[in-house]
Amino acid sequence: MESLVYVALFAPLVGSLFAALFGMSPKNLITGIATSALLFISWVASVLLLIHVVGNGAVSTTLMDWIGAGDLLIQFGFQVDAVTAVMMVVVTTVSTVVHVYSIGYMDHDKGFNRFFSYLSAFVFSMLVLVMSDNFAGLFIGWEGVGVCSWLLIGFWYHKEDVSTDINPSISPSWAANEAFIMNRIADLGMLIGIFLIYWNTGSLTYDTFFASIPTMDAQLLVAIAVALFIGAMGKSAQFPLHTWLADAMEGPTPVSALIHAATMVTAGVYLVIRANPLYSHEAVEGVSLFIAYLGTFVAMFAATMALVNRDLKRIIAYSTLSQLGYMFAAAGLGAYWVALFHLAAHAFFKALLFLGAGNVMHAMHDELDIFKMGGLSKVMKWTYIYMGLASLALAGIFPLAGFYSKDTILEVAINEDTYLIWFALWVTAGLTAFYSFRQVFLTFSGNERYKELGHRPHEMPNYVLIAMAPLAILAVIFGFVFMDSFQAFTSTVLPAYEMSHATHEIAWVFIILTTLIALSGIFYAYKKYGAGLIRDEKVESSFVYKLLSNQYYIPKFYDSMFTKPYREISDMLWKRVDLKIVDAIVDAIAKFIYFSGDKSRAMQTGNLSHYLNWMAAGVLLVAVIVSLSAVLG
Amino acid sequence: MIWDLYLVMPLALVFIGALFLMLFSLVKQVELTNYNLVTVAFLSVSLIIELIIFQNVEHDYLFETIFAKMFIVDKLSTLFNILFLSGAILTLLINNNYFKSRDYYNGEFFALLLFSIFGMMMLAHTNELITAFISIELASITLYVLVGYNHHSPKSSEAMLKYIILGSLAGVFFILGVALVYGVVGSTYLGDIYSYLIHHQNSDISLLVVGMMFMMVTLLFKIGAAPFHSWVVDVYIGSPFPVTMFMATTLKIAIFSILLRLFLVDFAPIYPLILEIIKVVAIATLLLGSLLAIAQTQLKGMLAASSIVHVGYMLMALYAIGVGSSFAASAIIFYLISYFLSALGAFGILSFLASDEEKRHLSFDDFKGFAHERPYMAAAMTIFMLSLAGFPSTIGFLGKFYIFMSVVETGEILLAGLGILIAFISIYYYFKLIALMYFYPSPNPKKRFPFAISTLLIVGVALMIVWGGIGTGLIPFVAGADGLLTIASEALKTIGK
Repeated sequence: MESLVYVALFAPLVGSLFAALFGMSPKNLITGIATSALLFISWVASVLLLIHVVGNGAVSTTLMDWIGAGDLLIQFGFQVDAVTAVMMVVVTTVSTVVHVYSIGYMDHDKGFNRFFSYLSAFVFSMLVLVMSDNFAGLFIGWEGVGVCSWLLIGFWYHKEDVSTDINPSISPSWAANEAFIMNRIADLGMLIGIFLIYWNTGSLTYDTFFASIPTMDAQLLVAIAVALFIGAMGKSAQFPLHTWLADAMEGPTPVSALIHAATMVTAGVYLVIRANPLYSHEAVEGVSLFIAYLGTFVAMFAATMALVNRDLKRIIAYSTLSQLGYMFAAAGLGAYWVALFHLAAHAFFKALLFLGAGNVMHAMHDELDIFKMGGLSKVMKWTYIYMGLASLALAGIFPLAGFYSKDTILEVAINEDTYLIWFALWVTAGLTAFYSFRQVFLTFSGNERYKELGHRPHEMPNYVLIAMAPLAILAVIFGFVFMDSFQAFTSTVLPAYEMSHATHEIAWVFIILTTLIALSGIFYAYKKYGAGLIRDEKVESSFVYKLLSNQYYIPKFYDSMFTKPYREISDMLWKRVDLKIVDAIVDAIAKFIYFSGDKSRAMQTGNLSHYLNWMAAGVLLVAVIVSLSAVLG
Repeated sequence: MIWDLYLVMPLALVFIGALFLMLFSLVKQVELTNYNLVTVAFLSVSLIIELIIFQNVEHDYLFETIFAKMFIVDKLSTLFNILFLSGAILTLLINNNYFKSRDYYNGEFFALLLFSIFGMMMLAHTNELITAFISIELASITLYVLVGYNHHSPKSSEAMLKYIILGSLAGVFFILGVALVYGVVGSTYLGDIYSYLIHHQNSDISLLVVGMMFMMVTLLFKIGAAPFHSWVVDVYIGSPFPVTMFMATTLKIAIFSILLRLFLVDFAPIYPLILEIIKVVAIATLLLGSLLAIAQTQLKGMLAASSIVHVGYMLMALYAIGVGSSFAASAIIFYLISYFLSALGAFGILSFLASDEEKRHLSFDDFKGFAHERPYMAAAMTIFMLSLAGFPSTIGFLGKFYIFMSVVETGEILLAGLGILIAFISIYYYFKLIALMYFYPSPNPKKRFPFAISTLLIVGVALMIVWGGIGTGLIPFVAGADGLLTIASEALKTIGK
């Protein structure tokens, strides 16, 4: 079984290095095919591992001793238990699809080979993140996915800043830097958490840490829980570190599907789930509840921004943000398996949604404004079906995957008697349904507004559409086929969360309520946009609309509160301190040394008799010192 | 007897090779490359035998019935021989192009070089002062000839003359010192001096100390320590590239072989008397060397002057040995290896360029935009400069690290601080070259990487430097930096008293 672990882990790395060999050369189809094939191998290995773990329990293995210094011993150890196996299968499934999809999507890009190298490197880092059995390995993967995300968001780094009326001016490289820096802020929290764990347990492995939790000080546990969650907030783009996710849409669409929907952004949720012995401990109850409330807030907050956005990808990005909120809400309430289940289900339908958006973009020559589309269902039938399915799943319509996962989260909220959370999430479910279908209808039905712009949309090649099929199938069947076995399987690692009897009795009422609000959301969207775009000046100039479309002015706030003052301070330090003080001192030292070097070169006259004199002087010096130390010592 | 023959094989091979080449050089039709290859062949066989000996030898005397205890064979001597031989082989192969590009090389050059190596190898084996003197002179006299080998160049002849006169004067001190030592002890064996000092701790030994000091002066002169360093820059600049390279790397190691042996064995009882000198000399060497290096405009001069600074670091460690550091001796050997590799590479690139482009004096300005013209060579040069400056992830960093560690271990924080300061200053003249190579446009178009034995070896040396700096333990069975340090300390253990 160990070999399977290594195959699953290293196949993407081999693919990445292979593609990197061609990094500087023109497009070569082999890189796309080879990396996809290797990812498929990784997927097979992951599935076999999953089957093995179901039958025989967790697998763990140690690759090598990585750091051994004093008391510190960090091993490159991997463990595959139920949670990891699920994550691995989700990651490799989506990655394989995205790789194949990218062969078509990146067809004309001159960075074709480079793209696949980065993409596979990302998958490798993500697998390190989920497979590691200690916090050091987790952190390596954590930073690895961060770097790959930076590389991929900024993949088209040559693009200039573009100014739109809705967003502050951003370019891919700006977005990449923003994502990276935001994550660095959060990583500091993460690192503090890891250091706290090391100082107090002397080890970084999960098992040692979890075993020592009962004996640890309550305040310390709270500190660790908070610090780790700050890390999770950055990676999963939770408020107030959420702004990077929407801007990250500057990257190529397959990247958005893989990294910014299905895998990397869920790493924060994974961390909370992985550290469940910590977060379910009674001492950190407050932190967990905070996580739940923050998740709920983000779910609603992001959904409202999605209501009015015109950018196809940003709408999906906000919906990702919102769904991550759902996951945190479930995890914060202690229903870890539910969070993980929603994570998996969301990965499938959201990746599908993004890839569908990619198809639309490809067809519309990178046009993203849904106000300029409409009526695309005639030319892009399959994309329409895929995106429709994914949106239905996202809205939580029976019997698609989203229905099961989202409904369970709402049930958990009822079960925990946190009615405020339930209500907020319930309203959000309605908003979700509305903005998903607003997007679908504006894109695919109604009048063909794109004709005015002279676009000639066309469907993607067949193999791309076939490659998307697995995601579509999973988005449909994942809930009703796998939910029960999923719960049984993950309960080997995660605390089994059972609904109380009372909740069970009245659950059907809430299911109906949720379905009703989702359906009414869809219906409202249909009424408003089914026939085509009718713009309403009054609404668009209202305060709420402006607030929402400007993302609550948070980017502007960050810009004026942090970015600009920081820039000014830096400028000041550069001009006043660095140039006038530091540089001056350095220059003075250099001048002094140079001067003395020049002077001492005079010793080097090239005259032999001078050299002989020097030698005699040296002998004399030696003699004097010897006699002095003989006399004195 | 058979065992002795086996032990003497490497020495004998080099000697026979020298004689053979002497005769062979009378045949005028032979191409220069063939002389070179024959020389390398002799050296390589010798090297292989030394490598086998290193595994087996503990502590032996060569032909004890004939030479008594004049020649010692232990792991330390074998390790040094391995270094000389690999140094010579690398020097010869890297300079293969250079030899062909100059008309004044002939077969005798290689014979002389072999004689010089023979002298160095004898020096590593020596257990007796007269033998030591003969070995040093044998190595030096051949080098005097080699320094002036370019008879077209007045500079070369001038360098030779300076080197002969100053070197002879230094040699005089050595033999004078030996005479004084013999006068007191009545023997010239290293072990005898040691036991005399141990047994006469309360009697007056000032004459002996003066004698030993005179010997020290010679050795300090030969390694180019201040204030006996004035010859270094002139002679290095004046000599042909292969000879400079050979002197900077191999000769320096040879002198350290006897210096370490003397210092670890005979000087041990009188450390309190001589440590001050070592300290003063070390500090003076570091400072004066740095100042000289800053002022150089020619690269050869800069490398020559900076070699003085590197000697200063090793003298620091020598001082640390006296104060009681446990691994300073291994640190010196490690540093020798690291410096040997880095300097070899740097001189190698210079000689390659000189052979290729008919430039005799390579100044800093000639390197403007070099990275755009020859990216791979520039990358290798950058590695050599980084290693010489002691930049992390190169072997040069570890060399400096071990030296500073050993000095800190003895509690001499100020001395270690000075060493680090000097290392910072050295960044100036090393990085100047890197900056020139990368931050200026190239006047010439980009050239292809020339696949030749010299260039491939240069790249190989560069990789070894990086390997030594980071490769520790990543590949099993290949010695990384840790392995080298272990080998060095193992070799030091076999040293007899």
